[in-house]
Amino acid sequence: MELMSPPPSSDAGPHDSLEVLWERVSQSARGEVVSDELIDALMRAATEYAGAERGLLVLARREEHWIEAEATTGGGTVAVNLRKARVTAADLPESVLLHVVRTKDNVLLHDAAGANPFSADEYIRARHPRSILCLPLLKQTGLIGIIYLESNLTSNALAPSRIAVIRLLATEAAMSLENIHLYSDIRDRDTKTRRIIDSALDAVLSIDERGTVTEWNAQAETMFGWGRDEAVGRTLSELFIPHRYRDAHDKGLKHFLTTGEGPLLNRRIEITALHRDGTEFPVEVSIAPYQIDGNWEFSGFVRDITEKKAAEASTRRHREMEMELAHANRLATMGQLSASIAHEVNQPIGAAVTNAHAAARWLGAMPPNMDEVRQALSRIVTNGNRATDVLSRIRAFIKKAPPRNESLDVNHAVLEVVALTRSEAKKNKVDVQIQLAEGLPVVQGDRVQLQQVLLNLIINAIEAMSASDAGSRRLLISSAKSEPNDVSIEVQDSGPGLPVASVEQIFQAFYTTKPAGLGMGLSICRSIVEAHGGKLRAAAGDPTGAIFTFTLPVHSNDAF
Amino acid sequence: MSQHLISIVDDDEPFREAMTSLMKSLGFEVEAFSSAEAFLASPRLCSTSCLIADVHMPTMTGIDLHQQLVASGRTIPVILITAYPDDSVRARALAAGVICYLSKTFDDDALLEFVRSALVQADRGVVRS
Repeated sequence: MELMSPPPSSDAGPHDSLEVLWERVSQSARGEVVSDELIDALMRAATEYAGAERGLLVLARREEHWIEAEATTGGGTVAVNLRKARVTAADLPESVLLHVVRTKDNVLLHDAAGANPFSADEYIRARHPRSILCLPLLKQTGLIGIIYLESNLTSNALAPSRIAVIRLLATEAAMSLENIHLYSDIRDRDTKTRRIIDSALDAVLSIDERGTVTEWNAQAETMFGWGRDEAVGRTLSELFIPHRYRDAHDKGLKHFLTTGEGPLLNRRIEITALHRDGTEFPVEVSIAPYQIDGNWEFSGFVRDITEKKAAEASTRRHREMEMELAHANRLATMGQLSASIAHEVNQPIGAAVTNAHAAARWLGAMPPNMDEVRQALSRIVTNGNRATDVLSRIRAFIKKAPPRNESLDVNHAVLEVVALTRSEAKKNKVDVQIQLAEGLPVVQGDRVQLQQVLLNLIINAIEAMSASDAGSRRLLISSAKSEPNDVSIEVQDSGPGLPVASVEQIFQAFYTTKPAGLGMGLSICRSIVEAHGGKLRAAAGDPTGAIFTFTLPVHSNDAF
Repeated sequence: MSQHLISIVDDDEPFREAMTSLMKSLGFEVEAFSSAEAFLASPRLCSTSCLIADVHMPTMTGIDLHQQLVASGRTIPVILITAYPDDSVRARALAAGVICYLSKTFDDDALLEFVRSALVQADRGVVRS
């Protein structure tokens, strides 16, 4: 901004106010004056110098025109009123204002009452100002605002030199005002940004090329135990990187600066941080590089994940415990079945031995019947396979394995379990009926876990019926589609039924009606089914007995 | 050896096949049934010289089958075979007049002996009751 020295006085006039204005303008360049003072000085000078009775400073603010100040002359003095209001037709002749804004020319009317392009203006007709001077305040990029001056005395034509001076001063002042506003806006924005950064729950910091901290927010102070003043100027390494990692950290920084490769940049990584008091804690860090004036800087965001890690560990332990429990339950269930399982294997073995006897006899016949021998031997192979099949299915069932998420054919899985329990049912003279619906949709889940549920229900049913008459023990296992989008599996028995008092109670852990029972079965079954997004319910059968139903959703669930 | 008909009743198909082959290799005519009811309803019932039946079957057990035959006056000798040998069941079965009670991994010479003696008795028309 070029400042001219104050103009020489050509007429007698209030030069004091001009000098004051000049002083204010230069003060504002040095950042020493607030906008109100500058506006005051401007209006005072413009009004006095022009000999006006009334003056308005109008500034363009975001496409609108706002009155910043109004000066009025009365009793020989100028009073400046700082008002902020939108321009209305009552404040000045709007047609003049619009003309100046559009053309960027001065408008000078010595006698507004006479014929002029603006005589139809509402304000002029109502208020009858005598002379009017309206000046645009321009800068390179456009109009900053306008100065409006009016007088009601006999027209006192302003000398062009005065007009030029007023226009120049006003323009300088308006530019200073703009700058003041600009700086104030910037300061506000900066304050706001700073507040945002300081209120963040994460530590926000930045370092330069040497790894020296240049920014350090309030949370960083709390998180690492170093105050802002202590942190700025120190390297990140010394502030919160544990000793054993400092070397790698420094090398990584150098590597990026020389090669541009930063595998750990622009990503979230988990590292161990060191508090000033010596304790270490886990954090999640993301560091991003950026360039300013060709120099690299890095912004860092750090989050303390101690709690998150603790929660993860706790969940992991919880899961492990659940798996242990489920495993123990499986073993217990299989233990109950073990006698029957042995028999299950005995069937194919019995058949194999008998086939072997037959083969020997056919071989010893006169003549030997080789065809029959071959058939017998082939049947032995089949029998042997069936035996190992049963064993491996049982082993798979007992094995401890993490839950799997696979597509499974419900009916197929049901049949496998029924095969496992066939001997037990036979031994207990339970008549087993199976009703499996066709065309069931495929379900997502852990086959072994779900089979465990069914196994538990079947064993429970068989045991429940042990006190019933031999001929009346019936077990019905069925599968069906269930609205809206589920598959249901039902186990119904003809035993004594459920304890009437509270059906839900039987699903609680440690509830058992068996003298030697652990009481884990049904509660584990329920949690397995619920983990699959399904439900396990019990109800009374008709006329007697109990019905256990579990449903599984067909859509894939997120339990895994 | 005369063509005696041996009937085999067992709901386990592999064992049925094995037994059928064994009895044939011993020179007998064999008929196999998957349930006691099927045997009872069959026309071959009358011509059966000896019955070999599984004990544990879903709808009617081997023991019940024997009792039915006794009750209806049929004098067919019955041999019981089981995958779950149980002493109390053996005692009951023998007391009821079953010829013998064997486990499924039996010695085939022993089985042959029991079958032969059962046939001799049948031929003689003498059956323990």
